[in-house]
Amino acid sequence: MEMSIVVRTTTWIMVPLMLLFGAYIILTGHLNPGGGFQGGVILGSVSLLYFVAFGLKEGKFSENLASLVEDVSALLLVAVGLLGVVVGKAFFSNFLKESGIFTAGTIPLVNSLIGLKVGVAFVVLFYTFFKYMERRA
Amino acid sequence: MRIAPVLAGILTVVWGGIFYTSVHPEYGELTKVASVYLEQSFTDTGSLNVVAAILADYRLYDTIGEATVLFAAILGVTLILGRNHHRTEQKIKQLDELYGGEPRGNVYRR
Amino acid sequence: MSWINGITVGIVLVLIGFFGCMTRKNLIKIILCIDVVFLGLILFFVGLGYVEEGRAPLLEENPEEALALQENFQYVDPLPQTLMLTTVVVELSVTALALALTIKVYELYKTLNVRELEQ
Repeated sequence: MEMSIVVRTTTWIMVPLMLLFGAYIILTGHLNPGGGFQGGVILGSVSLLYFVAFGLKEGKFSENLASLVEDVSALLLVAVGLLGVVVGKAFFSNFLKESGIFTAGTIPLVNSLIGLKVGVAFVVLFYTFFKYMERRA
Repeated sequence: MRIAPVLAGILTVVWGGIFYTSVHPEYGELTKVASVYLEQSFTDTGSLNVVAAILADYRLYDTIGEATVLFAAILGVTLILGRNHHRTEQKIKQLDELYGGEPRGNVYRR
Repeated sequence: MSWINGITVGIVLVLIGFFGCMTRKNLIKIILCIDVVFLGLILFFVGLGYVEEGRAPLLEENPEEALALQENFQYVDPLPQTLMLTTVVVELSVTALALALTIKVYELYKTLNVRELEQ
């Protein structure tokens, strides 16, 4: 289910730029417009472009790794919230604000985890759809 | 004229009227909650983006709940469409050989 | 208050989607009309927080240079926008599940006509 050589070459050029753009929108979410969900959607549309232009190749995409990344990022998100209780303040508090590492506290961390989770959710979704349509011949 | 589209049209117009007359009377000004968020978000969180600060610091609980909704939906899609097991493929081939042609109705109930 | 703002366009979109959802017979068109209802609802809620001559809710570090260009600037209400970000993800989940179910319905019954599916 591949497409022509023009589409394949254009995708092969565009995919690194789109990944970079999605990472930029996630990481500067606390200064410029953007944040977790917006960058995650951009990362997800990269996967759709790749699956439409190149088709599914057996043995080059492991769905278990994608599911594992999604589960681990969701668990880390809850762990970041629970760490507020461990430090000694309220639940889900911004406990990194007074330290010298980040000025905005836990906000870039939460943005990164949300962006990763939404991106990998798109990858798993599109992989399931394409795999089912290939199995149905 | 058939009665179903006319009835649908009348229902939508009535619903639109109810929708439009229920707008908040304070339209055009900032509410009190929004002005507190705009004034205190820089000193509380240290980020310039108010929307990201609300989503990630003031209302982190809603964000985690929404991540759970997304996870449950992807789980549901994977359960409906089936993963790649060899057992399932053999069973599908067996059922296609038994019944063959175009199935109408619920073939997999037996 | 002019008559074309976020609230009226949002209500019109919801009504169009609702009317289309009730009168269409193809299953995929019904799912698309549910999507249109979602989008109209999002536009309605975002348009509720409008302030006259307001700017986007991004604070500035030094407000002097913004005051030099425009006196008494105000910000648009940021609260409905953040809630609508969650709504967009809910819309994605609903559409994905509905399309997955449509694939299975087509595979079993070989038709997508709602009138025939009632059998």
